[in-house]
Amino acid sequence: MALVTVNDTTLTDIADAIRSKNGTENTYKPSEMPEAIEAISGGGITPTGTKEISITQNGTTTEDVTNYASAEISVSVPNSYGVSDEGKVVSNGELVAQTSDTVTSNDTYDTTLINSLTVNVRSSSLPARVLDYQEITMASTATQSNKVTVNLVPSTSCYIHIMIDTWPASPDSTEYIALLFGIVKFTVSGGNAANAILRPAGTIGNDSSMATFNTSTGELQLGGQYGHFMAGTKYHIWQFEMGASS
Amino acid sequence: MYFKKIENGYISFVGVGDGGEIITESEYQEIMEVIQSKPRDTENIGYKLKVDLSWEPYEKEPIPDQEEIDDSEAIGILLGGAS
Repeated sequence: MALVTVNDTTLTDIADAIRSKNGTENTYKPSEMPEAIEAISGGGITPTGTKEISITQNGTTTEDVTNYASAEISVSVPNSYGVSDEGKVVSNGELVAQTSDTVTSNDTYDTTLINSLTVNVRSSSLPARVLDYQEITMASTATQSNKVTVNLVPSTSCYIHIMIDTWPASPDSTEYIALLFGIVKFTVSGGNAANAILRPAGTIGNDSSMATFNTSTGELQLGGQYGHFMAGTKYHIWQFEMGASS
Repeated sequence: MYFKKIENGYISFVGVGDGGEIITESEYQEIMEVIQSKPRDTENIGYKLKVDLSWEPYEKEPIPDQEEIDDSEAIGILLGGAS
């Protein structure tokens, strides 16, 4: 073994380094230094155990797990909804507002995203279907020479139903039978599709026309020799077909 | 929806629905007021409503002689039986 010379500051530095690492204030002889250094090798504290961490709200948090080998994290953040979320449902992982809808036929419908459903299913048991409806108030009296035209849905086969709504307080004329009663039912007749004469059942004299209906254009002409539609009188006009279903 | 029907420069009628030129409710009410204040027809003179809401007199067609009908025919007319 050879003899060497070492500065005393060097030995002091080594001892300081040892004390810095092991956190002591021990003094060391040079011969004791190797053993002290061996005790330091492998680094500070060995982490052990499991730290339990509980997360109960959204946000950022920091946990010191230096001295632990592992962390067991439990997350239990309650749902937080505001007034604006009222009535919403979850769709594709997001809150969405429900909407309204209308159904017109019998079927099964998914209402998950619907909060209001309007049902408008026509009954299939009704024998008639309304094609058109108008409410009119005559400005002047329609007669055979002063006919007026009501535009309806064109149809080659239909019924026209005209009903008086309000009898005028001062009618201009009361001679005509069909206007003395509240309801006049017309049946479109006539083999010619271009013009159909509307008349009540039976005839009055030689000319029973009160109105004519052009099935091609859907024009209903009011006014005939014995069919006066009175000024100031309100009429309801229905056009419907028979035997239709929804 | 309100409408007025104009034919040959005269207002034939006003109505509710889809039967002519669309008008506002206020115009509908205005025309209705004019209709309700129509001059009374005489035996020979009737009145038509012009588009400017003034009344125009016209000569009415003579009323034909009416034929008497029996009760069964009248009932048929009233009940609107099959044509």
